[in-house]
Amino acid sequence: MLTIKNLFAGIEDKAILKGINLQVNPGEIHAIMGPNGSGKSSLASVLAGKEDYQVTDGEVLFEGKDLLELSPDERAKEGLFLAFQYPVEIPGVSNMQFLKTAVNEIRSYRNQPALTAGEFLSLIKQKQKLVELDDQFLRRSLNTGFSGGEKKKNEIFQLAMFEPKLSILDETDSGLDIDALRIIANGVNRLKNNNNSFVLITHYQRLLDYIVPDFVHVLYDGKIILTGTKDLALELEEKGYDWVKEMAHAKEPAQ
Amino acid sequence: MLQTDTLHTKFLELVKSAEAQNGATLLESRQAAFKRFSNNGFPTIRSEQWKYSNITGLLNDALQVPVEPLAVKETQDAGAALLVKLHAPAEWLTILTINGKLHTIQRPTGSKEDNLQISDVQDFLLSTEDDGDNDTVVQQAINKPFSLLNRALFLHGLQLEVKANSQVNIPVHIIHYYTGIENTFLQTRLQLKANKNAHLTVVESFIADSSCKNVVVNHAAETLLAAEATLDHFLVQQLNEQTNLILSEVVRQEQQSDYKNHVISLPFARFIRNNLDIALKGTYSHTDMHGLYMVSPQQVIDNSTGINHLRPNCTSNQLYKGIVADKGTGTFNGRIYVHLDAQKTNAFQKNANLPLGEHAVINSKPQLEIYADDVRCTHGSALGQMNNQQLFYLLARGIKQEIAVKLLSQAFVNEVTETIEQESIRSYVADLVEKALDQM
Repeated sequence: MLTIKNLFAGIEDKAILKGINLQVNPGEIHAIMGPNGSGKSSLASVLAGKEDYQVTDGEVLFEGKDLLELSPDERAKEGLFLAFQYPVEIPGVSNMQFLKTAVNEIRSYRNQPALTAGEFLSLIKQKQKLVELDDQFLRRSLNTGFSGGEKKKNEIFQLAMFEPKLSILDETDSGLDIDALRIIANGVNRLKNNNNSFVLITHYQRLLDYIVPDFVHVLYDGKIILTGTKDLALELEEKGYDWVKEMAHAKEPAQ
Repeated sequence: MLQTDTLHTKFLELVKSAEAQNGATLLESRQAAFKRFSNNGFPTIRSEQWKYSNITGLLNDALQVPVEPLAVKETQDAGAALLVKLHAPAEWLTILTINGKLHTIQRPTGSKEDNLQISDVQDFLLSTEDDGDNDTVVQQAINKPFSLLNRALFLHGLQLEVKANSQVNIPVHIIHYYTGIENTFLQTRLQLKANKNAHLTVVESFIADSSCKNVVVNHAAETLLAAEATLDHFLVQQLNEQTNLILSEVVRQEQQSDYKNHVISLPFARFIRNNLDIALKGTYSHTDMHGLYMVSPQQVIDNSTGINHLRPNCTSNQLYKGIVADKGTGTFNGRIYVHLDAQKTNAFQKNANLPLGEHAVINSKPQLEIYADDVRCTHGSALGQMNNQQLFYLLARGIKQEIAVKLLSQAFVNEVTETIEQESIRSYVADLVEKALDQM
């Protein structure tokens, strides 16, 4: 599904990702954890194609295609989805208008006919139940005046609408109360199947109680320094990151 | 450029032929207006009001000033079909003028509207002379060059008047349609009068077809709201690169009147200038001024507005937004003037612009002049940019760049179209705006 090989990227002259290697196969859930500033959200942004970042080395293959050659909208149309850490408010664009445009753009890319108004509405009805999203949110401007929880639910609702192959959830759990967290995790678990994959970027082990990962990676200083199973997340929760950092420094060749 | 001497010759011809048609009052006013115009001639970029727009190229030598009514090839029977072609909503009362001349009045079945009088202009509503009521603000507005020239040279004028204590229940749609004219400097006029406690909604569509060549329309409007009157007024400008518009609107409001104005300038004319001057002459009056200007490449749209708070306890609210394509020029020059006597004024003004290219030119000049000491006024100007985070969010959802830009532009203009209260007018305007965005 996704193969990242020796990826280096940064903003202007500042190196942020310093040699990432990661393989995600269909049906897998990966969690990426790590202390603040380690490059987790930057990795998500680079994969989604945010133009502030320059890739200086390495390659990323998505379903065999060179991901870095694709524009952000083409990446989405190929089946990559980024659930934003801070979903953007867009006053004046209704959620409904936005969804319809995006769904039909993606369908047209896949040579599928545009949905009729009726088909679109029934698709919405079916998906909004997943995250318990109210009708009124659909009529309102995109994310405008939504609470933090509502914004995150809206991200997962979009994920459900677009049915991506690979979803990257960038700190979707941060700022959520326990009820919202449960609703979102249930949504993800019901969307998960043997053909799609998820990458969860998170600070806390809490999310992983609800969505159980196959692999947990620790990202530190722009590199994945440790990979384990869900037990690694529990260990990090208990002991913090210091021991992993020390291990990372010990590995570095003496200057 | 058109010379004052040439205009003078034309003026004398017009006076000769108009003498028979119009009464003596109008003729005297024409002469006085032309004399005043001749004193200063056309404005130049040295004038503060015209510093962003050079009209020397616009008012080219090839332009002719018609001195008698232009021939109209559309027969009387063609009116109804033409209104369908021009997308005139059938449920409104429609008044079609062709090249300034009244052609068809079409009423929806079952509607009477006998409280609305539609007639030729016999006299001006507003005076250029001091009428003893210290009406200098109104006079200054009327004495601006293009208003004066229009008073002197107008060929066709339409006047609408609503009886006191009555309401016209459907929108009155005036379609100013320009077709089949070349090298023409056309002077057209509209006068609106809402008598005491009268209520009226007027939509004016300025529509040019592609058969026009090198046309400049100098349209002047005088509007009078008596006490407690309300007027919802929409100006929708759908012109093309051969048909240009200079519009001067002067509005006088008496006490407790409510005037709401929307100016929607759609793209593709080469030049549009909108002069709006409002005088709040009576206490407890209110004015809304909403503007949307969509400027295409090489185009100039210049808005010059002045709102004069003359008496206490009035409110005004102004929102002007511009989308300016690469190499287009959009101007907002808006003045709020709170006079000495206008205590308890509450005035709000906002101008925002969205440039669509590196070479878009935007001039924004909000001005506040306050001579009363107990007032609340706010104004602001924002030069927006496409918000990159919003743009990336849309791209990341599979929406391609050009459609994402369109969605965000749409969102930007919605703030103006959403202020239109009547559903049928909002959808009429919103459809035109959406189509224009597609083409920009």
